[in-house]
Amino acid sequence: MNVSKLMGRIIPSVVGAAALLVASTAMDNKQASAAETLDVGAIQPLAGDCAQWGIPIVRGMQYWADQLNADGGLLAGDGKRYKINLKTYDNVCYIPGEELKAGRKAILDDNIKFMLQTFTPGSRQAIAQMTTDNHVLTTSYGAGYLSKDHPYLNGGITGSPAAYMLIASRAIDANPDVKRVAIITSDQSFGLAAKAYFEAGVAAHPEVEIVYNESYAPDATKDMLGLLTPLMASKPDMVCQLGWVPAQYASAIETMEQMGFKGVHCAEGFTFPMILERVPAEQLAGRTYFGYAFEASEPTFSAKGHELYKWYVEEYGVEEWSPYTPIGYASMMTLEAGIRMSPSIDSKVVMETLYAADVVDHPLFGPSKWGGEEIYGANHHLLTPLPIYNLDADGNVVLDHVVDHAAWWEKHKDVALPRIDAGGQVFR
Amino acid sequence: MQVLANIIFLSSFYVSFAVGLALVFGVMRTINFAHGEFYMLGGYALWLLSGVLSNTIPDGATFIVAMLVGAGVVGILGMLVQLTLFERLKEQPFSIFMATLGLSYVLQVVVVKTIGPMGRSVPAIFPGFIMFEGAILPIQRIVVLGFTALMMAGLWYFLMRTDLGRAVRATAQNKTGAMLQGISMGKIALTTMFVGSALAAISGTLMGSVLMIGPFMGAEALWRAFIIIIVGGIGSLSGTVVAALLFGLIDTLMTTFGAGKFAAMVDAIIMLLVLSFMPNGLLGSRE
Repeated sequence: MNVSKLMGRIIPSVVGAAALLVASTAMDNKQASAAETLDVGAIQPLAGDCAQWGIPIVRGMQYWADQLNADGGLLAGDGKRYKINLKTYDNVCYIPGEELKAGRKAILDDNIKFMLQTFTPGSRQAIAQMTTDNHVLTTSYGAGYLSKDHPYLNGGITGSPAAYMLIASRAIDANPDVKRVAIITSDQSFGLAAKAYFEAGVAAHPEVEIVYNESYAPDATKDMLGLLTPLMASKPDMVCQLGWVPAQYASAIETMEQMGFKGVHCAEGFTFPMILERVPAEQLAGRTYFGYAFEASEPTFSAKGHELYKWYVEEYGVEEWSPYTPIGYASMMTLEAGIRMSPSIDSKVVMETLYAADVVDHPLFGPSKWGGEEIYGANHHLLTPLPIYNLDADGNVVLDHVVDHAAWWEKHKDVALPRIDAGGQVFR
Repeated sequence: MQVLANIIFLSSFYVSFAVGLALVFGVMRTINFAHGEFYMLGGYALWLLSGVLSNTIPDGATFIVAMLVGAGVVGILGMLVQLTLFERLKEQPFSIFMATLGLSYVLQVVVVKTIGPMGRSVPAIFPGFIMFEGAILPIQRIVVLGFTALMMAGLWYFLMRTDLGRAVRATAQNKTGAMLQGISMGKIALTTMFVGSALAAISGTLMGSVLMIGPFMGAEALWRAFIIIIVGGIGSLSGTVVAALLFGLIDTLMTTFGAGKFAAMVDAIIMLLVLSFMPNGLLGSRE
């Protein structure tokens, strides 16, 4: 980035902040008088290190709202169009107590009825009762925690943590030489969920053993060399990792490569612009398996989704691109599908309409079925297909494979479910 | 051998970050909560100059320029903080706490709004590694270690061998006595803030070349620095170095033996024990 470009951002940002304040006040007044506005809430980390996840997710949601609003609003099943008004709430870093505070603000103060939150089990549990009592249909980019007692919580897409299971399994399928797997995740609620699901994915391959399986405190990740030394000493063929913010993935992969690792990396997402500054693409080509919702920078899986990438890069620059942006966008489309099908905008009716549908025609993923009974005691998790990606030698993200989540589960649940249970992630 | 190398690398990071904070507190008895953001700005100086100077000068030269520019700019920022906050709020420690905390938030938001919330990494400036006794030693780490040693040597020379440095030490030891000797408190405060802030920026540049660079990197590092300077003895530079080595050792061993997730808790317990039994820290002097 050159200096003039940076100054060009600093000055407008100061002016923009003032303009935004004035505009938002004006907008609030305008929306207050508009009859057909639908408030949608987003609880995400908006400050601190975890904002590197939360802000891109919210930007993806904003794009979703902007696209609908540009068409005159979301055409609901009641025949009316609703302009989407996105409201954001900070959960600091997916901390359950902060999720509860943010949920109170959204639900009790702002009367939000449709919402997106993290899949993090602890955070979902924190507001589960409140969503039930107040009929707030709350989706997420994955399931994490669901319950028949809390039907207003759903999993909008395959997402986390189920994706970890599918990625690990796919990476092993594609690399028959992998016999030794290392798992490293953060010790937060979402990291522990990931750990259990990575284990479940490996369990589908009895010939493969887990040789390292540890959690780390995010505060202890200042020095990847120290953290990864014992992991590399276990001599894995594949490393499944979760919990680092994007730039830390770059540091982790660089460190592992420096330590002589030649095997497979698997994770929910990699921010390649950063990684490729540290490690050449030809060195990593074919060795990085990831998938969350879909990777919008890759154009073949979804042309519609790729438009999100083009908009984002134009708006924020390629260095700001995050594999987390599409997950908010894709998850909101499940709510969108429900609102389009429902005869009423009432959140209870939308919820019942969604669950009553044998198949939900997801705007990005196509027809998808509900699942999750064995894990959550209720079929409230929409099992969308999971595209899994890799990197080619030119540094481009390429589509590796699309996993049929429902089919995979039917085939492997007998071995996967006990591992998920052992990891404390079964909530029946 | 790898574990030993890891201990040295981690300790050098702790030293480089905490020493500026210890200096400022030792001389001025003031905690600068924006110290972490000064460190963050040093990281961004490297990122910015890596982009601006790429293909114009060698990468190694860019690294040095980033250290100098970052230290200069952030040092001046530190002097401005001294003139506009510390000087005006002296004798009001809570107000200084709130003001510097506020400044830290402002600096974070400015970076988020101008550059973005996503972290940044810079291309490896000194790529590759060497093997020594079975240990992998990344060249970038060795360079960072070398510059940290140089930084400490420079600080030692300044404090021990220059008149201004002696005046800074005299002020830290006995403010009233220093004033009676004709030392200008205003000049010492400005000098200390410049040096302390510049050290934070240099640390940010050094570590930014190894770790990630992000708007919130400083806030995360700050609490660890507090533990280090408290255990070392608030205001004691030698104590800071000893405590940094101690925590580098403990944190690395805990991580190596699979207990890394408890490192933060153990570090805090050690701090509480030291405060209980050695209220002035390991090498701090009684007030």
